[in-house]
Amino acid sequence: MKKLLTLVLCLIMVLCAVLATAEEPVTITIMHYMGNTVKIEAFDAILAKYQETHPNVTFEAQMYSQNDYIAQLPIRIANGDTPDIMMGSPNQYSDIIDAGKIKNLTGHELITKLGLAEGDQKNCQYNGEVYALPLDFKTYGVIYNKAIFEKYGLTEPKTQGEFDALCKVLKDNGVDPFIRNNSNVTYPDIEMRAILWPLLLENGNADAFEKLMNGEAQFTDYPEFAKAFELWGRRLAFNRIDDMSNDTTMARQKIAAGEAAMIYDGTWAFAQIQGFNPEVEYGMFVMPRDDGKENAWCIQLDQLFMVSNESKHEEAVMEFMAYLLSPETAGFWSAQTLSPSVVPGVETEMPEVIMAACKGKESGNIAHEGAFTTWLKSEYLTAWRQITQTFCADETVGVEEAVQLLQDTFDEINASK
Amino acid sequence: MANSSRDLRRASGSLYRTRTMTYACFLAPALILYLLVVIIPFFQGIPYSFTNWQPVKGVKDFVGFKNYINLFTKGKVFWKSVRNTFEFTVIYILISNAIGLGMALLVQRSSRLNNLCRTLIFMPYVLSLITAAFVWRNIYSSVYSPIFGVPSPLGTKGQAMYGIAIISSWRTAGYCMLIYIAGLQGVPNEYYEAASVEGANGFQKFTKITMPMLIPAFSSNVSLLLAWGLKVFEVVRATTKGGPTLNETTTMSMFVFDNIFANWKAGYGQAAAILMTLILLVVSFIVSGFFRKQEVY
Amino acid sequence: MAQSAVDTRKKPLLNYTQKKKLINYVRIALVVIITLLYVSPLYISFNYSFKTPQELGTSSAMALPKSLYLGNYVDVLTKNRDFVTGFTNSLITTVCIVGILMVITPMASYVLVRSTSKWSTFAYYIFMTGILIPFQCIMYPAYVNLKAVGLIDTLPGYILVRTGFLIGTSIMILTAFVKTVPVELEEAANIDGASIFQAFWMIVFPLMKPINVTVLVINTLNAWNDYTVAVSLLQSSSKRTLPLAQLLYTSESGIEINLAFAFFGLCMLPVLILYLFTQRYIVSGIMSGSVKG
Repeated sequence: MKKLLTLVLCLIMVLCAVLATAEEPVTITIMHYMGNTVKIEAFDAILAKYQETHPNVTFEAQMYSQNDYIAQLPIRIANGDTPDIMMGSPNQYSDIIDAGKIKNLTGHELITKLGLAEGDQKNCQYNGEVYALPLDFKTYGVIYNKAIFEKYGLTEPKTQGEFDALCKVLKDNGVDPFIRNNSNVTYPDIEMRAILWPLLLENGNADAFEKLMNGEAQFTDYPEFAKAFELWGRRLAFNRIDDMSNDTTMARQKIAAGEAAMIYDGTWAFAQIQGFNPEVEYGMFVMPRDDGKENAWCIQLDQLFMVSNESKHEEAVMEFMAYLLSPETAGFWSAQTLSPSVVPGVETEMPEVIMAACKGKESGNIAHEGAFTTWLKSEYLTAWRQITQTFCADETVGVEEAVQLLQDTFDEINASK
Repeated sequence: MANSSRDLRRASGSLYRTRTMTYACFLAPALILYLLVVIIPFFQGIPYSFTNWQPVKGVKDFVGFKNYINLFTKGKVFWKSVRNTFEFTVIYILISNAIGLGMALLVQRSSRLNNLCRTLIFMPYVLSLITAAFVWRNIYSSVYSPIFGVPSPLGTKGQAMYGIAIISSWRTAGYCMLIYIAGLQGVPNEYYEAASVEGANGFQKFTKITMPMLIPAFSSNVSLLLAWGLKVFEVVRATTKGGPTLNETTTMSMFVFDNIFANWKAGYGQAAAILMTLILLVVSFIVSGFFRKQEVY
Repeated sequence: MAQSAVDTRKKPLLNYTQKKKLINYVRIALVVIITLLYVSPLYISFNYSFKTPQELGTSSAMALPKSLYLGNYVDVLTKNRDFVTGFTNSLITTVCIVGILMVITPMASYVLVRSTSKWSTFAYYIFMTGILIPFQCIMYPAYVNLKAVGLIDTLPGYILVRTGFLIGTSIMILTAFVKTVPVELEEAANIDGASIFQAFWMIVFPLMKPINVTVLVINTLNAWNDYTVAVSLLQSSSKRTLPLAQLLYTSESGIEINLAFAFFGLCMLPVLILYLFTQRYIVSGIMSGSVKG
């Protein structure tokens, strides 16, 4: 009897040893908000390919809408359900980083290997430490229908005067200059950003948003805001009846159908625009300025991934991140989703619109999110977006009123803290 | 009913005891689950409202009534959201009832056509609110706007709440209609015959007989829509998200949600949640009280 | 008064029956037009789901698709990997939620109406007050509690919470009906020696059929269409329900409307069929249960 027991025990021990040497099964949880079929398909393909060489790894990719993401991530983290990898820009999730939930990647091989430019690097940082790994970047500007421009002998405008003239020519010929989708608060926001960021940065106000959020400065301290509203207002005067009702997709359908000459949209939109009508050719330029200077491209990193500090299998997670940021994988991602990569060594044929954005970034004439000490976050960002939307939707809100509204709302937010 | 149970009590104590036991067993599953899932979590939330609670950071210091005081003195957005919610609820109740009553009057008698129409009008209720919102966003911008040459109400200052209320009403008006049909069928035909004999015209019959007899149906519709309307959340999030102008369509639920989860001011948001529930309680108490008085007649 | 009524009948443009007929035709026309208008949004959305992506930009919303393009439906069924799991999970959770509700709420409603004790009145008020509590208020505590018992991100956990949230309205509708069931029938059964348990299940429950079917359908709709509770309690893609699978088509960065409507259509199909099969009960159920104050 005793012998039998020893034998069984021995067997169990041997079995355990064998199991331990085989690679442990690992599940990597990824929480993200990459919501569209093209991105999801590309990302799924990357995960599936990784599993071929790493059969012990399974992925649990959980998609949320941006609204739900912002709400669900804190609940999960507060209850110890932090996902291994989560999407997001470190500055936007500073609370989570302050709570020590995100892995500090400063000096990590993966980030040094990327050899990011200064602005890009800072975009991955919070308080001077690196907390995120980027896959690509985004920028926004005017995407225009080349055929319509050619028909009326128009070229990409270099000055505000040229731009005004261009709009007038279009209007006189019965062509709507712009299609808009201002029902989505992101769009008033990015159109304003694109005017405001370069102005603030060249005047040395990299800390403007930080000061505005903690109440150290007033909006009237920065005349750039009023200036930006004024310039944007001029453009908004070329309006259409559907400016406030198009959603992103409707606007893109309409530009593809040739209903207007231009749309203000981002690099992320191009795949869909082209999909609606592959025969139309498009170009992209950054909106010109009224002071003779060449305007800068706004750059933000996109697909930023933060890694949990509480991950049970950090090695496996970092190994996957290394795979994700390898030139092959990043190249595949870029080619599938038509997003401009930040990973060195990625050479993919990109459509002209995306190439224009890449060249813009390379030219160095950029206003990078990373150049600011911080960009607006959480409820300040929500308020900013709603107020830029108000500026489009409410004729009684002029430049002064908009700036005042911003100040009042920020004051209110600070008062309730 | 009361009499019979008293009789029983007198008749046999043990029978009464078994009855009580059976009743308790019948009630227990629903009550316990309800307490566990709805009532207790609600009370669990109350202590948070007296703290500067931030779940992620693990901060939870007692701050007394500060959150409530802030809501009352500086909570402009909160009170705006309260006003918006009431505005929505009133429009919603009016439209739903108008369509519901109108259709009920048209299809009150059972016939093949009428039954088919009832089925069809109730059908939007099968859709989720999010789906309904998507359908209507498209109706507004691709059908309504081109036909009438005006911008979509969802993107127009001063109209957005109406736009949203129409979406919600479209979904629930069929429900109201059924309740009204029930009310109409409950009106004895003799009343109308008597009125005809006395020479009342159609309008008089409607105001003097139909309307008063419909008060129970109206009251049950209003209380139902009130409970739905004051909690409105999904449909706004799927359409305007609070826009088109600053906080024009932000509702109470959205304010609570945003503060607890998105703005990292969970203590403040929880205080707003408690206030919101109190407001809901008071309003429905007043409304149901009002209707109870009406029905006495 | 009586005189004038006679007068109008004396010199009629149309005689009484003709007039009645005419009014009836007008009414029928009105009913048909309003009903068609009323369901037209559904037509438009179904219409979208049969259009190719290219057609969207070029044809109007009302125009019929050029051909019966089924690609959107095929795409949703084959490419959205959340669709099949979502469908299965929705089916499981909805059946469980509705199953539990249809056992516990009729019993509870019966007691709430029949019992005269203070306790049952108190319980009734708890149920009615709870209806007013918005989910947002208890979302966080619900998460913490489920986490504590290990039920977060599980179907049973979701079923419990979702069921709890539907108890209030179910009881509201059911109690209104039970009040109309005559107590004499049960008393007769009691005299014949049946227990309360038997009396309820053999006599009262069958009488409740129309209202039970109504509550069943309303709960099914609520459970099937639920988004808010599901998104906060279910995380893994293997646990998610059908409404969460729509995210792929309706994100901030771009809505794929033809796919979205194909998806919505497929989502709606099971509950629509259920509704069409049970609609005659619903009509009579809502009508019998609701108006008795």
